[in-house]
Amino acid sequence: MKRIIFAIILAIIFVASIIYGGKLDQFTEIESTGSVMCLSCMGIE
Amino acid sequence: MKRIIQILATFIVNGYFPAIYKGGIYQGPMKRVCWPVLNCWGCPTAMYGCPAGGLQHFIGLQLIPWAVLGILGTVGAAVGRMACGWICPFGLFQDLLFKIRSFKMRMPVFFKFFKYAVLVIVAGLVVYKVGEPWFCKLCPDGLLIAGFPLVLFDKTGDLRALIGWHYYMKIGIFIFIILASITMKRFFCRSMCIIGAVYSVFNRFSFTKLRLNKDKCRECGSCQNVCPMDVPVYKQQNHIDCIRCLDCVYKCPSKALKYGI
Repeated sequence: MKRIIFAIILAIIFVASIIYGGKLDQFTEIESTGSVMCLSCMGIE
Repeated sequence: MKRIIQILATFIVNGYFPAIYKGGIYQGPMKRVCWPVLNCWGCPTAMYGCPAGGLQHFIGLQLIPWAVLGILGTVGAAVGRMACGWICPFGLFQDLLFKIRSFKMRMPVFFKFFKYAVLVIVAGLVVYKVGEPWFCKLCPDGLLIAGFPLVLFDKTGDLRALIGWHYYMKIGIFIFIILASITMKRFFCRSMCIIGAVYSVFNRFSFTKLRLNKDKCRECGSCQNVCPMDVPVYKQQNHIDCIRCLDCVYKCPSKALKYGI
């Protein structure tokens, strides 16, 4: 029971982290960074 | 069933097929969402963001990656490392490599701690200091799903002209990981994957977990034999390397394992 409550509290904290990240426009930042072909990820630069 | 989901997930996360014949890269709202496992987001067919790239992007800017940590933490708190077992394309790649008939061996135990060093040093401290995603620069996934095909089908020769030491270094790492994955179960996941390192922390506390009925268990070791991560499930049910693929649950001859809340 303790573990389940702990897991739920953890999940709530992390969902809050997602919402806070969204407020900081981090999802838009992720979209703009991921929309560029990353040559160094492919080993080409 | 697991294999079908793994294959489907691979095509869903890398589903921008026009990139293969038209070139370019997927640019759309789906990229805002981080697929909760390793999948290079800077590669042409990738539809979703990569949490490893996202983490490093914000660390490189000396910001806290709230959104990416939130996604990883929520998935981890709910199901632990299950995403690695069911929806990771690079995990599927390693599962298939291990099916190749060859000499097989167990991974030395110290390697399993190596992923935490990679997470803290390569994807953390180095990125914070130099501002560049060094884990991505070494990650074999980018080479597999983009580096090889793009260079192979490069009609103009522009990309081939850019090949240098970095490309050859990545090929070296890639070959090492392929050889290691043929001989050892999921070598990359167990020793180098930073996403796996983050999820592994949650295995003990997650909402769902594996349970063993000790009265039924005969300690025959079939759970460890079928486990893609080589976990001795009969000894430790929620081991840091357990990816909750549930192979052990289905293949336990005495039905001693259960997965649930």
